[in-house]
Amino acid sequence: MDFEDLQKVWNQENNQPMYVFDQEALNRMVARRARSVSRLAAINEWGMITVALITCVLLILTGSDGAYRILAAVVMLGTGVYVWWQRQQRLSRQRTLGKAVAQEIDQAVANAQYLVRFARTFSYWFLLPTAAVTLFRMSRKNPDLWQWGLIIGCFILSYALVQLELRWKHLPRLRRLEELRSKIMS
Amino acid sequence: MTATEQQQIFNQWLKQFQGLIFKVVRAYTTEVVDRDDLFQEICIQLWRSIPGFKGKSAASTWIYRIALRTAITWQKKERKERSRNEQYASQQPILHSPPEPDDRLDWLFKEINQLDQVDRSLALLLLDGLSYKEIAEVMGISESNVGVKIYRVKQRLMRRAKLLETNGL
Repeated sequence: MDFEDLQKVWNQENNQPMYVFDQEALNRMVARRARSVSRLAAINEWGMITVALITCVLLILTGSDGAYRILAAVVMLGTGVYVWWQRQQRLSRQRTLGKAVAQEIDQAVANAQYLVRFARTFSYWFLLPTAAVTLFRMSRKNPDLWQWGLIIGCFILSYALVQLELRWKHLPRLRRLEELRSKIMS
Repeated sequence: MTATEQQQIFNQWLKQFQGLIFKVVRAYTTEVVDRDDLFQEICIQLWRSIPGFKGKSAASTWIYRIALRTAITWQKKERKERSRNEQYASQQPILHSPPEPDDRLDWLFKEINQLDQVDRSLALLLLDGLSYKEIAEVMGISESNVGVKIYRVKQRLMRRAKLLETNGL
């Protein structure tokens, strides 16, 4: 059997249906999923942006602790900008869906690298400053031991969750995509 | 583009290129439930890609790109997550197998299934008779790179076919 014979076997498929599918059910599924996914994503994004901006404004206009208020407002504004930027990325990905396979994998690797970097540095730019400000404010109010434990525990839990996500989700995905990229380019 | 126009193009593509999509689905899955899921995922991506299609490349090349990149980056895990989130488990499958499968075609698909994800794409494109230039365009790699990879895939398939003949199957 040579390659032309394999191709003849292959071409038989062109003359007979490999699967049968329910066109109406497919159309319903596509319409529902396309609608629900984009709507859900938009609601999530705009919801987060709105909450972040309102909280930022409220923090600036109200409250008594100057340093904490300004820091928290900046963090909220940053969160809103970050969600908006993520939204732009998502829409841009949608606009460039027809890229070649290698370029698509490159893009996926870049996204995965970004998420890994984000998770790795999250403690330094968000968790540590927030913990420092919170603990400083707490120290001025002489809280009970259990309150210290609860707050510190929450920060440790947040750190652990981010690290777990990094280890079990982002890093394996990045490795898999990099492996795929090296296969396609080798 | 209106939703009706998008729907029309989607239906037309599906009618014209369903064989192409089926091949990709079959090459990248082994279980029936996965086939249905990957088929749906490719259809969703295809639907989403329609507004971005400007006709600069052939529709078949575009659809191959969408289908292959979806299949390559698709994982079973995603199906499990989605079925939890969207309760797909309770829904009827959209894709059904034909009543009389072809043994030789089955063998060929099993062999393709055993290739790595990238080589599977190349095998599909090669067997479908695409030129090196077209394969390079779909995959986004150079023609010379395509040549090297295709040689490897061809050799492997030929070796396996010979083994099949030697064993008198």
